[in-house]
Amino acid sequence: MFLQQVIGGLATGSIYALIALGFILIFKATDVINFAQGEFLMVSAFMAKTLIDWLHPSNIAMWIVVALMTLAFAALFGMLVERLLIRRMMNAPPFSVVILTIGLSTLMIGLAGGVVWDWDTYIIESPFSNKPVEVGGVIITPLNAGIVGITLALIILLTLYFKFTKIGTAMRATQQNKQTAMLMGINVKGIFAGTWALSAVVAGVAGFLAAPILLVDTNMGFVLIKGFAGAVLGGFGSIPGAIIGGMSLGVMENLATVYLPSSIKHVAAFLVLLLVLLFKPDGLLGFTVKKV
Amino acid sequence: MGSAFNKIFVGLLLILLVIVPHVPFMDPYLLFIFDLIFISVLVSLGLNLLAGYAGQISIGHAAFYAIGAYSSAIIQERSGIPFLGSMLMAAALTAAIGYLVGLPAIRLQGLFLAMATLAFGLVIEEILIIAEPLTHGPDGMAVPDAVIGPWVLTSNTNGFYYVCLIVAAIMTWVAVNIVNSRTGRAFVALRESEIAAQTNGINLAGYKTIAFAISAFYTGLAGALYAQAVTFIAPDGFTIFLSIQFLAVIIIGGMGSILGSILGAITLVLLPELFAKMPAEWGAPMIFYGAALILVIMFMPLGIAGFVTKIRYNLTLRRLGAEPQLGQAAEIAAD
Repeated sequence: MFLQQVIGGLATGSIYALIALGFILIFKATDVINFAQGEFLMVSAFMAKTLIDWLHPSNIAMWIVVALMTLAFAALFGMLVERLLIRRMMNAPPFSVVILTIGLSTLMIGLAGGVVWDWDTYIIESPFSNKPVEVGGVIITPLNAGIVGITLALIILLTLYFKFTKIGTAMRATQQNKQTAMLMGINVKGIFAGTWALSAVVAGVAGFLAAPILLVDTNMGFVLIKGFAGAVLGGFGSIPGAIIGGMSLGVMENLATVYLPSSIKHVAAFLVLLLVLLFKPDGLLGFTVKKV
Repeated sequence: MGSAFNKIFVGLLLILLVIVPHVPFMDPYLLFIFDLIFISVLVSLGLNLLAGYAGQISIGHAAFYAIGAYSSAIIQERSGIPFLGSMLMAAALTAAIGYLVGLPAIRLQGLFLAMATLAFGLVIEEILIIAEPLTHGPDGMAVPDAVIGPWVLTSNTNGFYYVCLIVAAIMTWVAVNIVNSRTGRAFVALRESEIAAQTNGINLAGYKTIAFAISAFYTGLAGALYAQAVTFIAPDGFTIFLSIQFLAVIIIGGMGSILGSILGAITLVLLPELFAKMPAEWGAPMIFYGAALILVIMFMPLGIAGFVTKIRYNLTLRRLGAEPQLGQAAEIAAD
């Protein structure tokens, strides 16, 4: 029973981890917390829904096309937001940029529901089936396994990207010190745009993966707070912290539904966030990077 | 345009507001709109003292509003304490909770605090539903009529209008005095630089929690009046979107400005009247508040109040025979 809940929690935890990761990427590079990160996920999920309705993917190749188109859209969207809004606020106090992203999140919900899509809730298909399979005494679904697998693959890819590619190294340099990076001939503005695009792609992956389990509607962006809770739990500002924190939060939430009264379920994540912020603001792993 | 001008202006405005219920074309709905404006002035003053003056963002003020509204209604329903008493008790309770919410602010920097207040707002939203024996759960509860001495003041009556007017006027006066006191200057100092404030002997922990408590007091007071005005309250009336609207209002009106709080409050009440005529599925309020937040913060960071200050400054310059210098004016307005 316990193990079953842990395994089940890993899938939702993966979504939280991806949102937390999206947060941290932008935070490390530009010192901004993007309150619209959840809405990036929501827009990508809606985009995936539209593409699925249009293309009716039936084989794995078609699914890959749908996924790539969703991610391309997400990347473009992230770059557009950076270019049109965030870059103009480069010298503004962080307070103003936070307000700007809060405004952006509200605007995106309004536009998604009122103009581009609608306020209904959709269940969308997934390339992975939801049929339970028993593996070594634990029941898992290919859907959950797919979510965890793709998340882990993405994290490995990103780690390799940051370690071994030239742009990845430039991004890390910019994260450490903007001025010095500029002196070394790094195009810092380009890196910022790239970071927003990358973060939006991570949110896009999360949206694509989350769509079958979270249901697609304009409110799905509120999962942002869970991602934030995960990031804080692991220690805000570190990538491994975000992933471990997000995963643990998913597991904790799942365990809470079994071992605590059901009314706690909705607020478990927020209580964890408040408790960690109050008593252990550096996170359980103590990775916090002091930057704000 | 010194303080004499301001005093005359405020005096005239007050006289006008006292006469308002007796003008010929007044109807109960218009009176209700005025009540809502006074209530919103309280909220935006409270939030502006916290966010605009002390620099602590809160995205959870709808929760304080809800606590004020519900506790006042529950106190009247359960204990029979009449309205004025229940309103003050509700505001005091909200202030106490605000003090507790302010405690993490001692350790948390701006952005983390914003997230903590957001989580607080969501927890309260959930508690309103769970605490069914007290709050009547998701169905909401009817608010008893306000009884003050021998009078029963239902919503939409002149009596209730005057209660709102008096409370709003007193609390605006209090806010002006807070801003011009040692406490107000400490708030501004800690907004500008926590390190510099601390170096000058300002007790950061003390003033941050005080800012939260004062802000929550204002919002709780507003919540108690709001419950009387609408006569029925339910948890879905106090969502995150309301918190974001509150924030939008002080940013549109003008951060760190009493005048801005009042101007913002008027827009907060009047705009929904406009949106009410549009179909709900357009999502007009969300699009408007979202776009307004973005545009104001990008192009008019000091809000309407900053704009007014700029114009007044330029007029003064012109009167003195100097060329208006927009750049300089903006700098002065920024102070």
